[in-house]
Amino acid sequence: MSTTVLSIQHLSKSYGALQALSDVSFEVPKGSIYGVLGPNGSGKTTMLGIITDVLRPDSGQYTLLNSPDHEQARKKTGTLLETPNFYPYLSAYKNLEISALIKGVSTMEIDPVLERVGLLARKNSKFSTFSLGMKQRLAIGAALLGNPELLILDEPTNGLDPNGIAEIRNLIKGLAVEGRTVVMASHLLDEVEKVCTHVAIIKNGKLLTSGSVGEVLASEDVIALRSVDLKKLSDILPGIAGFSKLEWQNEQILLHADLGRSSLEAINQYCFENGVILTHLALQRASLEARFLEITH
Amino acid sequence: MLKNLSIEWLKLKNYRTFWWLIGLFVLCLIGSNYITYQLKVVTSMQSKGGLDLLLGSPFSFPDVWQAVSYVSSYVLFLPGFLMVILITNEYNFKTHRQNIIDGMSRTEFALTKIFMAVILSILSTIVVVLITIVTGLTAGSSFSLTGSVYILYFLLQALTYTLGGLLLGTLLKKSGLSIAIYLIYIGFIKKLISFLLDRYAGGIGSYMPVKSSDELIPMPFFKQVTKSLITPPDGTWLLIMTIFFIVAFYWITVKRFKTQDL
Repeated sequence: MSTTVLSIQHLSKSYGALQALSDVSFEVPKGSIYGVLGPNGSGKTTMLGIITDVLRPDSGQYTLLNSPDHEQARKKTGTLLETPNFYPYLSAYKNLEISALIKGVSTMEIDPVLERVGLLARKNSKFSTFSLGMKQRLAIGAALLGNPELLILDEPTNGLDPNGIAEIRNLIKGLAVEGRTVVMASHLLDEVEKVCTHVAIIKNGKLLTSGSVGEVLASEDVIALRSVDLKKLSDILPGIAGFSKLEWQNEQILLHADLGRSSLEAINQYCFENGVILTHLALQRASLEARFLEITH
Repeated sequence: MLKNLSIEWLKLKNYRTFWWLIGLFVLCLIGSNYITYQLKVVTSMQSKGGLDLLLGSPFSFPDVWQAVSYVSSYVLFLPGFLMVILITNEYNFKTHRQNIIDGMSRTEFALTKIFMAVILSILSTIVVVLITIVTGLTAGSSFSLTGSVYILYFLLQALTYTLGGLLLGTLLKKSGLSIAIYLIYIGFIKKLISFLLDRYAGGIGSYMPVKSSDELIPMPFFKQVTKSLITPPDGTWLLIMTIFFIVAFYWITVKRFKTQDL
């Protein structure tokens, strides 16, 4: 059994002169919560549209759930793409009945799913009478039908109030605990940081970076160091565990290192033991925000 | 396909516009035939049988097959209109996307809608058969299957309208625009192009899309008069062109739905 749930290879797509997606490749490991992060209009929805067969790529391939049969794979995938798409004149229950029938899922599953997204009491109300948040929750409910192995959620907290956002985030985390894989597109860095284990950052249709959240977003810590003898300090710093690079800046040295493998005390002690007495030692950890801006600019 | 049709049924069962249009359509079928029949009866009576020689007896067997098919064909724009609505609704609500996302294949989706058009055409034809039988018997003639080939022509015409509406909706996606172009084509452009082609392109106007199926059933009234005034288009070619357009509508609809961005 392979551990990759979704594999995307060299996907490209243009709308006329606009290159919406350009040679994007990455793999989603089983059990991960994979965030696709990018500003609005960066190509996130285009990419998710292609892997759900709603859009046609110009070139490239994808494999969903390791299955050559895309229809069967989609039946085992719960998807919320862009906006909730339902028949406005049908009730919540009847809309899910249609989804269930297509997926080949028993209609017995509809009530529990409605319960889970808090719409059971409104199951016989027409979709057109729902608020934006309720529509969004119904769409998430539809995605949950049939206990899918993989969920593809495009901006799942769109239109929800703070309570609803927290609920959905908990729901997503719960899904991952149950062993499901979630691919989630978002333009909110904070959301990806709070929920996801992995992230791919897309801008202007290009994949800038991908990997685990730790690797991509918080890869490096920056530590500012001062000493009387900066030259000697710069000579010994590469010996620190987790060292990546150093920068000279005015009267101080900026050390880029992974504090997961070292610590401020350890650095201080190391310098002392190597004959350098620090006059200043401060963590200038690049904020996620700054990191994100750094990647996307 | 049975599963997909039951999905379609779930969509339609509670869709009020669908039932209103179906009801109106059946009412128009019955109404238009009733009015024409009464008109014939009244004209006959007023002329004390004098016009009967010219009129013939279109509402008696065997001519009633042609007469009812002909009159009914004027209402066929309604099922075509319904198909435009049914397909553009999916685009409006983006539910065509949801159906695909949930695991339906694009071909299945297109074929289900085509199947709906076929079912709608067959149901229309069945209603027309019933009206024909009732009218023929009411006119006091005895049942005969002679001339019932017009029912087949009616079915072909119904398929042309429903599949044509489906194709137009699939191509344009937007409901307002599709409905407007559909009605304008049926009511005006079709006749205009046909007229221009007849005039400047050697009389091929009758073989245009939809027009060729319209002319499959010639006017049943004043047969004797029209025969001597107009040379009718070639029946075999009309049939060939009608079938050609039906197949083309079917093929382009499937092809388009398979390749377009949804």
